[in-house]
Amino acid sequence: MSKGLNRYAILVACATFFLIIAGALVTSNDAGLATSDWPLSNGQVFPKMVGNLFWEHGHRMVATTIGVLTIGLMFFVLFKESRSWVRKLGVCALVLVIAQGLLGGLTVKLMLPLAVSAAHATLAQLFFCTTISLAVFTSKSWIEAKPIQEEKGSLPLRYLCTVALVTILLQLVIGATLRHSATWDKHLPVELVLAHIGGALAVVMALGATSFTVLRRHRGEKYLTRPAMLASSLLVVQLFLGLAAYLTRLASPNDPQPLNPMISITVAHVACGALVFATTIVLTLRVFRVLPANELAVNLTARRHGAIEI
Amino acid sequence: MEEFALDLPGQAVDVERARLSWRERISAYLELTKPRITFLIVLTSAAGFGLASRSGIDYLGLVSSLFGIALLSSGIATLNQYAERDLDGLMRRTASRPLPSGKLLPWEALAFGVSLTVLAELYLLVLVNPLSALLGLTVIAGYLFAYTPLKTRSSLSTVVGAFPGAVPPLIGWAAARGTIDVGGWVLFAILFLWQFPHFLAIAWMYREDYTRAGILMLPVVEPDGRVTAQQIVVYTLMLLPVSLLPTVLGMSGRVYFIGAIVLGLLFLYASVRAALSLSRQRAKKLLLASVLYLPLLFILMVANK
Repeated sequence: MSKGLNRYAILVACATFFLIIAGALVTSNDAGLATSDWPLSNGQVFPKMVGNLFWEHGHRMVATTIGVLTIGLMFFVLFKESRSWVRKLGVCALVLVIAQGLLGGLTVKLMLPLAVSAAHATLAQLFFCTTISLAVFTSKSWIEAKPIQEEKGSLPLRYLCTVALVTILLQLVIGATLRHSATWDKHLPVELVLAHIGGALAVVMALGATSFTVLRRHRGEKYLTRPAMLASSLLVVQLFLGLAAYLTRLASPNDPQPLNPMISITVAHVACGALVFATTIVLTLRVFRVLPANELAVNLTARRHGAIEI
Repeated sequence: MEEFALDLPGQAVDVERARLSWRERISAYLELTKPRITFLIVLTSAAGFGLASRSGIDYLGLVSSLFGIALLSSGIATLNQYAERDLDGLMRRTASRPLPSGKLLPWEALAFGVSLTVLAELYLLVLVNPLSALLGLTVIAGYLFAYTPLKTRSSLSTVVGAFPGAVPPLIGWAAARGTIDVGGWVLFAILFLWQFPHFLAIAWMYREDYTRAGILMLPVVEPDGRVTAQQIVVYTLMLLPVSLLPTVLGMSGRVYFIGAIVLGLLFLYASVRAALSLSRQRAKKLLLASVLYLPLLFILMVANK
């Protein structure tokens, strides 16, 4: 285990979170087409950061930094890590960040088509997921974690966590599609708004059930209860941010240009969504780490003996 | 469906349940929905809807919205009792509720609560409007994920719980208008402030119960009641000027203005008396005053629109 590698992986994950915020600022400021040029901005490596070019070129600069950091991460993993699957994940991170960069370029070149822009926003979350996973896998707590043998319950926590994670990812995809489907001066499409709120309900149910089950079954196991509590607390914040973002977005078509507080609240909603996703990833990975894989079999045996807990 | 053992003695529960007739079972399910609280929530939502309606009240829309809100309130109340079934069993006030008394099994309450909540949210989303459903989600999350777990961790849970608790009139407002204006936030503020004297009176009356269950209400944390008394008076005092804002903003007329002053002073009188003695009897009177004050204030507000 390398403490340095873990610290570096955490740094890359934090920087990626910052990149998500920088990307969200481009969308909310409607700055995606501040320059139609790519990879250069208006034919220059470092143009004058005026107007919306500040957001678009700023995003490109942050993204380039993350690209360089990810190359470093891959080599760090390849040199320091002995587990082959972690090494593969390190290579995977670099492939993802290159694909993400190309997709970003394609978005600009094709003048922000919905499918490409939404895919760019979704791939950002998947790359974030990879960096978070690398930070978890290289941590001391992961390597030294001991399996928890006693697992009571009719529904395996592994299933609940997976359902919650997939639901959140789908919700992020819907959210990204909603954001890119209409600029600030147009009303949001009703079908997508309905889908995003319906998705929020699904996330509330799935993540709520997961966190509640973790806290009930594994009280005292901070390795599991901490991310569970953090994820559900962030979800509460996220819902209030979603409400605020919706209210400000309802009024934005009357504005002469994208304005605050709509911009900051919407960006905060995107950022908090990424954090909910990240904490749920940590929870899911840890659950898979410490709870036995044959949990379902254990539960079915328990069920036959009538000792079931929910 | 299998039996879920949990921490209740299985056989005793089965015997208890076997004795229940259909009528008793329905009544137990109804009890899970906390009908009195649901009624109060529906009433404040109706006021929100009425005040937000610009050109006459759309009665069909009103009934439809209130139906969705009542479903949501019932679902959240049920899920709250499911989550707190162990704590409820430790308190005399709540020991006879359907779950701790064994009238219903936890999975029955869970299935009932989830069904009601999901149905309510989908109803609000599709048949009312997206904003009301979104507000509903903040209540679900705020109440179940923030307030409920905080109750055994901090006395600040009352403040946290007051946020989702004050949302119902906003849902009514959003259902009528599709957006939230300053008037909606005034209703939110009234309900937010009202909850403090209301809940602190309950907490003072049942502080021994709360202590037994480890629920950190203010009177449990500071048994001499000094801060509780201060907070009861301060929040009621703040409520008085805020309750006049509907007239200032042109939402209600002069009759409401005078009525709000009279009701506010009476409520303040009950608060001061309760704060001075902090006896169970005075706290009970304050509780009664609070549950009379709120419906009267909202009815007056809508009547004198």
